Amino acid sequence: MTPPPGPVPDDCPQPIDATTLMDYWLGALQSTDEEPIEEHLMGCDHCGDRLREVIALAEGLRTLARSGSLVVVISDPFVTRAGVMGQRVRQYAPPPGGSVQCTVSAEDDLLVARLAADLSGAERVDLSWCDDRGVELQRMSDIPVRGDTGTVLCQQSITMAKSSPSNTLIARLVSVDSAGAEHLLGEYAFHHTRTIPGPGEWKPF
Amino acid sequence: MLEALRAGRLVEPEKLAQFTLGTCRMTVIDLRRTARRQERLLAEFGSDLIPDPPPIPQVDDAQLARCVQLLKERERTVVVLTFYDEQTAGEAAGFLGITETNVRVIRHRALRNLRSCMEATA
Repeated sequence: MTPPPGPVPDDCPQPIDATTLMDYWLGALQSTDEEPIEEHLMGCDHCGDRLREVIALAEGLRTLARSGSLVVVISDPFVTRAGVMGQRVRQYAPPPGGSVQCTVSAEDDLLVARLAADLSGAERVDLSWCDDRGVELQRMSDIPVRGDTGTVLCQQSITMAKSSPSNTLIARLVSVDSAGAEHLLGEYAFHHTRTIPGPGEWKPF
Repeated sequence: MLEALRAGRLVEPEKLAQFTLGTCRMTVIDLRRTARRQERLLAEFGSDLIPDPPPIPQVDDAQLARCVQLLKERERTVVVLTFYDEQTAGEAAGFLGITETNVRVIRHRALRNLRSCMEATA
């Protein structure tokens, strides 16, 4: 959008939309698009206040993204960058149909599961997290995958893992076809042993 | 003074060096006095001259985490990749196997959903 140039009254008649303000804050705009926005912001307290709200949201998201507390599919470059930035990344890569003994320490920042599977031809892939009885605890529907990579990287909540009692989590990668039928791509068991002292049992999700 | 010196009209030219030195000393003293006065005035009134910027609003971190976890998987991935270290749409597009434009669309939708979620639960 092209905001009106120059000073504007407090109740801005043509406020810059929040999406554009976020793009501006992220530096995702062309310089030719930045100039009229900066000119508008110089004279508009209303949009200046909204920019501060956008900055607050961006800072909150950055803190959250770096906290390792989200359950989210991530990329290899993301893991590499985390290491470069000094974050301690604990990764486990059980083979399809296999299991792995795992734990987390107080010093770990990110917890990542590497799930190898043949993803070629899958229209939609879901990642289901189950307990040791196979009861689904959480389903991540239509996760972002690339068929040519053959690996799904899923960040688990390090916050949860640090306070979790010893337990077993089973990850199931399934493809879902257009009729809604599921096809197992891989199953992976994570046997978590608690090494950080804490209270007794609780449900992980 | 210089014109008089060049024209040979300077009275007591042997005192020129002493005069120049004295003038420089007075100039330096004056500059130092001015600087000290400016520092004192800034220390006393500077905070009134430069207003504090308005504070950045606070975000409820716990609520934000809940709202992010409610996003669709692609939206959450794009948000995390974008804000972790300000990854560009192009870099995220490479991982997701979609165009930069599509990454921006997903990011815009995610942020709109986040704002709605935060406002609904404020």
